[in-house]
Amino acid sequence: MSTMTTAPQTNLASRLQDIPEDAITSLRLKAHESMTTMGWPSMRDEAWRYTDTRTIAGTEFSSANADVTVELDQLEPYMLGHDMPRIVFVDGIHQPGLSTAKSSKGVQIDRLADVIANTPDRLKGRLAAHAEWSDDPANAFSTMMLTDGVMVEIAAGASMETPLHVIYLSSGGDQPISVHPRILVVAGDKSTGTVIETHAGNTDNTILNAPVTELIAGDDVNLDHYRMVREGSNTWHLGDLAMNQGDSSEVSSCVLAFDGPLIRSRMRATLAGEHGNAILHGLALGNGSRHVENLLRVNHMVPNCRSREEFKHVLDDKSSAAFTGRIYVAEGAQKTDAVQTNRNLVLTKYGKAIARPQLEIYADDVKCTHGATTGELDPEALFYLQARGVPTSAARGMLIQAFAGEILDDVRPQALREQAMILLRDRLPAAEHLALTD
Amino acid sequence: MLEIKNLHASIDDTPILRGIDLTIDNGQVHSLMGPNGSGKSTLAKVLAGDEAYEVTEGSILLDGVDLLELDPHERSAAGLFMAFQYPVEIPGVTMKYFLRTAINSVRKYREQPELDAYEFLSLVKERAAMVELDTDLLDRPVNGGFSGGEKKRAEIFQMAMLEPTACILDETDSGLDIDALRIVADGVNKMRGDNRSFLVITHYQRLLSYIVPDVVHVLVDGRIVRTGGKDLALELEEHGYAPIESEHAVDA
Repeated sequence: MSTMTTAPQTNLASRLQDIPEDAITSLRLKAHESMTTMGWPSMRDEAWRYTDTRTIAGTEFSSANADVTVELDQLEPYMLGHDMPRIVFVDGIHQPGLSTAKSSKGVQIDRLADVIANTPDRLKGRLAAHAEWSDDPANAFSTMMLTDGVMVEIAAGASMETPLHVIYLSSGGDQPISVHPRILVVAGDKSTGTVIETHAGNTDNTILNAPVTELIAGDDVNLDHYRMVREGSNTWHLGDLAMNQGDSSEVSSCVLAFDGPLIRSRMRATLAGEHGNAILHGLALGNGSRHVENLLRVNHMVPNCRSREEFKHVLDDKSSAAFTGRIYVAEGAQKTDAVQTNRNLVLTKYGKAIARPQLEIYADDVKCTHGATTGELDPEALFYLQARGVPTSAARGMLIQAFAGEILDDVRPQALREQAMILLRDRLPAAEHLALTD
Repeated sequence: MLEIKNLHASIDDTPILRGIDLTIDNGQVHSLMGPNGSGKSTLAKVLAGDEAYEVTEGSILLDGVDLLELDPHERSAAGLFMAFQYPVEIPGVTMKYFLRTAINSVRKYREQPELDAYEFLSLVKERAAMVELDTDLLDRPVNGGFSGGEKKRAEIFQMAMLEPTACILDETDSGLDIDALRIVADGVNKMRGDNRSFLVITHYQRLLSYIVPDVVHVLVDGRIVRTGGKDLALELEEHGYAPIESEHAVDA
């Protein structure tokens, strides 16, 4: 990898010195070393080819001001109802007054800061064990700065009764800040659960948000994860997700990218037990000059596993999206069944979509398919709707909604699905013509 | 009343309609017949406002309103309905949502109050019965996975919902078995009335045994070459289009 600039690293190194020593200091040092070796990525790096990080590299970030106070009504637009248990961070700082989630039987919910301080053994072989930071500067940076976050541990056989909502709200200040959200979910055998994270901010302040989420599932687990991205107008979102699953487990993750100038999501699923099912979904709405980057990798390490990747991008104005999806099938991982699709709906002549499917297969009895399409709205469907009296703008809205709906239909928590639907409608050009209910 | 005068239309600079004159009074059913490629479906699409076709000359008036000045959705609101030969499948949009949006858009344009959910469903129930349409279909995507007969019945059902004053049926009989044909025709006949005109486009006489027309026109090479009563359809059934085609072959 190339080294772009030394300025942020000098700055970063000094920031590491500000973090007091604790049980994960050695992890931070290793991440720092990786970060220093790799340098801040440039577009010459293959994985960052479509992500312009020059502005980020040239910005000196500091940590957030701990005195920021946020009222419940500022949080309300991002909440998923008052009843869904939540943990709230503002600029990366935990907000006990706004958080409502509590541990229950079989479901242990903790702040990572507490776990690091009191029971660091619980992190061994888990924290940063699956999310690769050695090849990703954003993750390395986030790991280097890791001091807090959320750990959810679901005991064997236990079920989370409701989804847990982790809200990372960004507000920033006069100086650019960076935020390093971390979520670690450990699901024991035969357990079920749902974790939703929201990254949001109604601010023009300059912020770098580098969240890392790790989902570690044992055998026969059913685990759903969602990441809603509604960042502020100058918040760069460089997200990472890693999931690792055992025998007969179904783990899903869905990223809903709605707001922010740059939304990058690296997602990596590793099927480590037979008969596993990994589901990666994404919906991105591009407008203005937003760039959405989805960088996926599915590792089929053992036989008889299934993976499904479906990513849809709606690109308005001058927005762009790049999808890179690698399916890796290890030697001996026979009967692998992997499907990857990337569909782009480009609404203007300036929108741009790039699809890069990559297959790396070392087994001979496998079924791996990928498909990428880029197109405009179907003129025949548009005419049909118009001919029945639906005005052009509303007809376009209906078709865009239908395109996106195929991802949203699979969003299981109703409150999240409805919020996403409303966000989508609000952002469509013809929102006022659309009835909100069927 | 639908008045088409000297209508010329082309696609990609190829003329398809070469001067059509056709007036359908309220209460009348006209049939437009003709061989494949004569321009029957083009006329239907031009009336509905398909932008793929360019109108190069002529006029279309519906109750005095110049349709050529209107966008497709405005034509619908003005009272025109075209039943598609090939209804388009639209995944992800339910029939019910689509239809409610359509009907309320049209009502808004006509300055009528919008229908609330209850009124809408009552109307759906009543009109679906006219074409023996299973209302469960309305929870499915628009035309999604419908059989040929269901698609055509759904078209006539939509027509009944939107209460147009001019109805264009573009080969509604194609792909229908005899039972479906009877149901569709019954639905159309129930809608016949003093304030509504119909143009029934068909290749075969079969449909016209069920929907008996007042006037039959024959289209050849983009022009109406013969007009007559309902017996003209029977004559065509017996002799085919060939005699008329050779009589009116376009000089090179």
